[in-house]
Amino acid sequence: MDRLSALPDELLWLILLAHLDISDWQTLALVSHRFRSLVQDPRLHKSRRLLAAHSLDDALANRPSPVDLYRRNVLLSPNRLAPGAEPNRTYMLLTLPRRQSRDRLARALANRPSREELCARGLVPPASNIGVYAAQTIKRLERRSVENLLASFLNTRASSSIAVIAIQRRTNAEKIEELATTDRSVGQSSSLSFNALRRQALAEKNGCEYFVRTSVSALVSMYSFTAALLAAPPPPRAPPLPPKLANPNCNPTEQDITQSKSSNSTLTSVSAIKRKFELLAQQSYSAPPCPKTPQRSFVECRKKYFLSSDISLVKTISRSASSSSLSSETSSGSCSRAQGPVAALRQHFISLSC
Amino acid sequence: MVTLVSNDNKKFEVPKDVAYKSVLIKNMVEDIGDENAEIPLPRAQASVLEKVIDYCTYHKDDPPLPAPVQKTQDDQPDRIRRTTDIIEWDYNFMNLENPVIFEIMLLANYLDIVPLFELTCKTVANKIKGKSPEQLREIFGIENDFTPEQLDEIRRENEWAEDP
Repeated sequence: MDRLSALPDELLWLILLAHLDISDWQTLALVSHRFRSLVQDPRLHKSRRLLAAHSLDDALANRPSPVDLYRRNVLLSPNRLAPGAEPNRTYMLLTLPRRQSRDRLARALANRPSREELCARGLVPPASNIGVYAAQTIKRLERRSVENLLASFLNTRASSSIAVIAIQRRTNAEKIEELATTDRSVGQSSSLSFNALRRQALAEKNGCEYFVRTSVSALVSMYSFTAALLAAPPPPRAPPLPPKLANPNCNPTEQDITQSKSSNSTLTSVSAIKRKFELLAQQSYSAPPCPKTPQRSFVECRKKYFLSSDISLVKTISRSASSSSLSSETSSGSCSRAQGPVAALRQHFISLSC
Repeated sequence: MVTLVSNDNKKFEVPKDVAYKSVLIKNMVEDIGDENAEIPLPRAQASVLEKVIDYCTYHKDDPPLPAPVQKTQDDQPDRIRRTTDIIEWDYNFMNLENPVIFEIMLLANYLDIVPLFELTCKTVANKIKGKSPEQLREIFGIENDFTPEQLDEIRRENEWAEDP
């Protein structure tokens, strides 16, 4: 007897395990297969529940009143647990509802009947049939919905969208009828297939509405643009055409024909036609004669642009310029050549002022 | 005096109040009707029986355990089991090797000495508490017959009961 596993199950282990907590049971379940089976013994769990019930009865009978707990800062109020200074108590306070919910959910999940039992009670169809059938139906529905959406999109682009929508709705109705008949033929009311059908119908309805919106908006924009064009003022008219030509069709005259025949050359005829057109153009688009203005002298033109005050100013300037030019002429002969135009301008201004 | 004979024919002279701590011996003596008769204990080793006699000698004046609470017919008699209410003498007395503790546990169960049996259970439970599966295998010499896949599956099953 040198091993713990050598102890008999029924006498020792069930009593020994009753001294352990559930966390230690979990640890023991990972030690070996034998301990795992012992931990899962229903007698052990029943004993544990009875023990907990007895201890709970004693604890509830001897527990302090809420007022005492409030005075000891255990309760925030007679109905609420105070957070307290200990982090363990705060952590328990925060996590207790979640752990309770989790335990409740785990118990409910553990107690739910198996699929085989539900099949035997007739609540669920056999898994083999419904699984394969539902998978095939859903796949077929998805493929057909994609095909329908693509077809409706292409038809909307090619022709009127309203007709396509009518076809789409008709297809949906046919599909609904078809699926309903297949479900009836199977004899099982499969909520899975109906849900898939509902989702399918909603998706296709959304697709139809999308195409309706897009096509109608396109039509509205087209009509509004046309109405705006009609309501706008007419565009400016084009300039009047030139007067009609004597030979608008440019038919060659008999002389041209004879010329072309005589030259017997294409280039010659083209050049002749070109010359003919140039003559016609000169006759038709001759430049309008310019009105003849009287030739005025330069002095008259200049007099027109000068006032009397300006004339006096020019006189003073010209005098100062003549005095400076005279002094410079006396100083050097080269400068007299440079001052020649200035002197001519001075004489010209003097004559203007006079 | 009551004479106890171990499986290796070693005889122990025990006072009556000490021997009567065992319900089995008490019943046998009462059945025989002769208090001086030898009581054979073929499943008791001498060394282990000596330890049990020491325990019974120390606790000979202890009051008997309270009667178990039995509310309904289906309820099993039980008491609140706490592994911390061990007095110092008992703690030192159980400071033994694991095989000896297991032998004392078995003999206490055989002789129907409830306090000693409870003490051994508490001692072993205290050795198990807070240990990892690997430590338990090492302490108690248990072979691991799980595959890693099975261990992962068990951990997933027990995940809901673990602390967040």
